[in-house]
Amino acid sequence: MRRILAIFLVFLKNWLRNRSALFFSFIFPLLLLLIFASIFTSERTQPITIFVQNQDQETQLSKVYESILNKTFNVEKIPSNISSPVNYLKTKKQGLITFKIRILIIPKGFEENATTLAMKEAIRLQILNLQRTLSSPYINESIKQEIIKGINVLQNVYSNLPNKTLNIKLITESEDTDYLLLNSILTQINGSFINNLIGVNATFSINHETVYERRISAVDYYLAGLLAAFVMTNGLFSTAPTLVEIRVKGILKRLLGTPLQKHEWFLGIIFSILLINSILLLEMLLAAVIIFKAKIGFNVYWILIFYIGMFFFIGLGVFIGSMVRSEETAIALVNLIGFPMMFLSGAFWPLEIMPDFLKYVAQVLPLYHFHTSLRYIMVFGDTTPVINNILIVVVLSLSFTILSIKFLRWKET
Amino acid sequence: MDIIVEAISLTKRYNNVIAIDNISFNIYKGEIFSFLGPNGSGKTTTVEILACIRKPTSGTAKILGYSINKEVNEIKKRIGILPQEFTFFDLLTVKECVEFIGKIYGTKYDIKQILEIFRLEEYKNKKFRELSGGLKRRVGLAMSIVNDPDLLFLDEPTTGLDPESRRDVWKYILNLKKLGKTIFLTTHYMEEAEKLSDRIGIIIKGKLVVLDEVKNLINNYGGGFRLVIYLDKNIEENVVKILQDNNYKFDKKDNVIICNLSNKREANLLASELIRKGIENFEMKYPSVEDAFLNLVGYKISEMGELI
Ligand SMILES: Nc1ncnc2c1ncn2[C@@H]1O[C@H](COP(=O)(O)OP(=O)(O)O)[C@@H](O)[C@H]1O
Ligand SMILES: [Mg+2]
Repeated sequence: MRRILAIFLVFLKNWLRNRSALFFSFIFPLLLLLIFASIFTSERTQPITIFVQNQDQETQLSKVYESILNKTFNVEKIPSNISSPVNYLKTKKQGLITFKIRILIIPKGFEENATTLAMKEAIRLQILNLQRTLSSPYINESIKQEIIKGINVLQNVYSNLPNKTLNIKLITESEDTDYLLLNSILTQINGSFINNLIGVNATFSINHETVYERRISAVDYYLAGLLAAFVMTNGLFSTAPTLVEIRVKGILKRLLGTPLQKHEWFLGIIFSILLINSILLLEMLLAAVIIFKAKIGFNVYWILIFYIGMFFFIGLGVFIGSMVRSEETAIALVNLIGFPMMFLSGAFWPLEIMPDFLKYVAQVLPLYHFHTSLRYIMVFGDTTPVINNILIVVVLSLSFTILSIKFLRWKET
Repeated sequence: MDIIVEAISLTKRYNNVIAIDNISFNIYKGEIFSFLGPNGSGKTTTVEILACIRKPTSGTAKILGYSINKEVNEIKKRIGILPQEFTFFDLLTVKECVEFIGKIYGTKYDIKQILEIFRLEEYKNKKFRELSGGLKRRVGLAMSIVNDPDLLFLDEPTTGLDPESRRDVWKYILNLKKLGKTIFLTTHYMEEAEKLSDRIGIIIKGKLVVLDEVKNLINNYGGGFRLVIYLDKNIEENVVKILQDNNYKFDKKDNVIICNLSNKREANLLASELIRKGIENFEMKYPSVEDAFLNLVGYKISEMGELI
């Protein structure tokens, strides 16, 4: 333990006394958070996207209604066999800033209700017509009797037809500031649908439900993204070049001449990076909470993921540091791995503003899974929708930790 | 005499290179034992095997009675090492460097005293990278005695230093000997080996050519005393006459005459004769390790460590 502490302190001092390392570990991420979070706080206005689930599948009228919606909104369909559209969207939403849950459900029986309404209206009008005819002086008594019979039959049919109302279900996030706008647009659409198309002067109601969804704000997005990105750079940059330097310069030989053990050496290094990342975490959290009023739940799971994910990058860094022969190669390699990952994984800007193919590229980058799961748990406190991302992070971290222990140089051949 | 190091038939191969070839020797308590040899002769390999940093291909050794194969930890606790071209963590201060090693051993030590021994007090808060080459070696020496080791390995402790710093480091090495440390030193500097060592092993291409006390090396292989006389036209005839009259054997080469003499007394006699005749431009050469080396190996070693 004493020796681990000694190694830990040496690495820490080496880090803290290196101005550029200090800048890139602690100041640079903070600056990025300040810049990104304030720039991207203002949202863009675009056609409102709504997700439509048509439960009255394959009926003409529901399709007509959908096509009307399509003229005003950006409609994305939810398959009708999805039983919980809300959960379906929550899974899709992970990691996206502008994504809002706005679901419009066309209920089963939509067409039937509309046609019933239309029939009743037609019968009602026919009855009115006949009644008007009745009051005409030119009609003789026997015809009148027939007409009265007819009216009775129609009234019978009319009252036997069930009373239907037309409605749709609308589900929005409880904090959706655009709800009122959305509601008034829908009311207009519905009014014209029922009056002009069905020809009925009835109400077409909107059953509104809300789901509680914590909005991902810019600060939420960038906090997790930047944390993940800089856990990556700290892990890679503080291990690979340093380990090569230590070996090439002969410092390792000096240490090999002492009773220091390999596991003490390894743990000392790990703990120093752990502390550096903890300072980073604390600093970023404070900035996010104090400056941007971010609401961050202190959930063990994201703290766990934060620390587990770091082992992937430390492991990768140690592995590189053990394999390459020169410090320059090590620096080049960690840059080559680190920077594209930073920019392509969506850690620095939301994937939704990037071209489609890059979204697929992102999915193969470990950093993507790291920041996505970290963010989701930080913001929503729930691990279920990101369980795959979490698994990828855990498996990668475990493998690279084992790899780094195996390959960490602790002898001369 | 206590045997501190007993190397038995040590051999080390790197792929097809034989770095050391069946080397055996002993190092005794309290002595400075040196390996003198050019670059690539196997000095570092030997040191690193004995310090348990590398494993030999075959052969074995006992360090302070412990086997390098089985009792690595016991050995590491009791030795100190100054590796070749020693460097350390750039951003640590001198004091932190020493204390760091101290923490690794976990033994008691007096930091003030250690800094004092190597006159490092005034630099104790300087960062390692800000130190001159000579000071870095001194810090390395200080670090090597933190655990109060019985045996010190100093692998080319002055290589790359300017002559002044080199002499300075010698002072500290001799001081360590006074403190009772047994020292295994490697060098390619003849003068260093001669000034510091009790015994020298000359190592060439992984083989020990000779191993003996310094004075025996010089006596046996150093050749006699020599007088080197630098000529100009006016005195040439004169000098040759003196030498021929007295039956001295000599070689003339360009403007230099080298006269081989059998002992110091004979050399002094000739010197006073020359001075009497007004000839003063000459030098008395005592046999040295360098002469012994030249006679044994047929080459010298350049400042850079190459055979020439
Ligand atoms: N790690 C190594 N791998 C391969 N060859 C080596 C290695 N270390 C040393 N050698 C070779 O072994 C020989 C002895 O080297 P070394 O012990 O360093 O000599 P010295 O210290 O006397 O300069 C040299 O030929 C050198 O090239
Ligand atoms: Mg060497």
